[in-house]
Amino acid sequence: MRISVMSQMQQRSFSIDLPSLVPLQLPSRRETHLWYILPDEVKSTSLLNRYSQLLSPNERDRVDQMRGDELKKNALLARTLVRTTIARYQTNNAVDPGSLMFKKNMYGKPEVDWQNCKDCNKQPLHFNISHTGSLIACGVTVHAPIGIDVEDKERKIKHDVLTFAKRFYTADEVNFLATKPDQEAQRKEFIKLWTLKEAYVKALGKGFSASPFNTFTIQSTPGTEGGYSLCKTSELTANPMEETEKYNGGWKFTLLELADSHYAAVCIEDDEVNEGGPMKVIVRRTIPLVEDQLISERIFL
Amino acid sequence: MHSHWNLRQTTTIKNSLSLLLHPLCLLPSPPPSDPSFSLSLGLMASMAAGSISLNARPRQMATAVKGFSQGSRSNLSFTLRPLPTRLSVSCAAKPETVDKVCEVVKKQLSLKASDEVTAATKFSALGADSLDTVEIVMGLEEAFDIEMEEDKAQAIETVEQAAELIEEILKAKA
Repeated sequence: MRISVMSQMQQRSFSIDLPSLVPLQLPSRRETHLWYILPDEVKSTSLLNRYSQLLSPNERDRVDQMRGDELKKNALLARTLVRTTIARYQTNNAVDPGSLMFKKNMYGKPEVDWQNCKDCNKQPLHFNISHTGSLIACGVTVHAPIGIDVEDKERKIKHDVLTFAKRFYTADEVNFLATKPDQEAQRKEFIKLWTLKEAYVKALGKGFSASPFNTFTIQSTPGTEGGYSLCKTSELTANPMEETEKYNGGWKFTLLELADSHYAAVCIEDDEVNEGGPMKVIVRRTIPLVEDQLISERIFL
Repeated sequence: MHSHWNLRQTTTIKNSLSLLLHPLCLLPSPPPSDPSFSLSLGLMASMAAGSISLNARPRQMATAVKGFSQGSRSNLSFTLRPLPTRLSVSCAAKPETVDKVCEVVKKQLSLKASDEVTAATKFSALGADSLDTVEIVMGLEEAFDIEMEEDKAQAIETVEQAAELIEEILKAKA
């Protein structure tokens, strides 16, 4: 008797039970949820195998195309982060993250394909991911298109920063960079601007050619910490600020630091309901299927 | 390992198609010990006989069709069937250009000399993000003494695409 009970118990502990995903409340209209994984914290092969089972065959192919184990692992973690995070926001029933379907908009921006997902209820969720070698992030909002970009704070630029900026940024941004006291300060500000500009283009979702970097200026908003605003440089209007205000409600930017190692820029479209209102960003570090850790909740004006 | 048949760069699409049919041009680049070489000889023979199976990348073949069609009809006289081998036709850039691009890419991404980078290599597979891609473009501009338009540059995904764009620009410059 005892032996058979023991063997039953042993069987149970060896079975790969899918730990149920802890459900999440949808972000409110004024919230952005920012999730990140530190690849170095995910070492377990069995966990990585578990993640691999969540991916679609296409996604697995793309992971396999990456050169080398580290890049493969990060590609796997990125897809896992997207799938598990979005699956958790399903309020009605537990959704298998593996059953989510994704598609691309006509410009190539990835989005959830709710229609083709069997057990999903359509959520007005928007998401965007970004990753570097050492951090993978996913931003989630409700009702507002979002773009994020993360960059290692220490990332070295192989070209001269000002030359690079003159080639790709706007004159105003070049002038701003030129005021920095030394090369290191210039490099830091260059990287911050890069993440902000990338986040905007990704939020727009129309690809780089729709909004080349030298057609818009991003500058920090005085009186805020980490607040930035957009000015579109346009030959059509004499006053670039006018152009911005006419433009569709505007875009909100925030720049934060993650894990002490990365800049993260978040850009969301300011919808009519929220216009001008503060943006709350909730940052959580996660290991999918294992743990979450609330890092910060901050309000950006 | 891919074996590439390198077509000589030609000035017009029409010429390139006639060269395509010329067996001498289709010298495979792998050494005779490569197992796919014997297959390529067979292919060359059948090409000389006038029927060709090519595993050409759709994009390049589309260009060829576009250039060759007179009015609404295309004059392609060979059938396209995917080859059950690893042979592929690179209709586009010169090997020297491809090699130079590979060098710039390896330098920008701090790859080792032993890391394999070929014409087909996707930048993203090497871990290049958008900032890397832009730096690669700047490196290419310096290496080839050209200027690339930003939207074209950002659209580059592979070594081959970069090489093709570079040759297009060099041709226009000449």
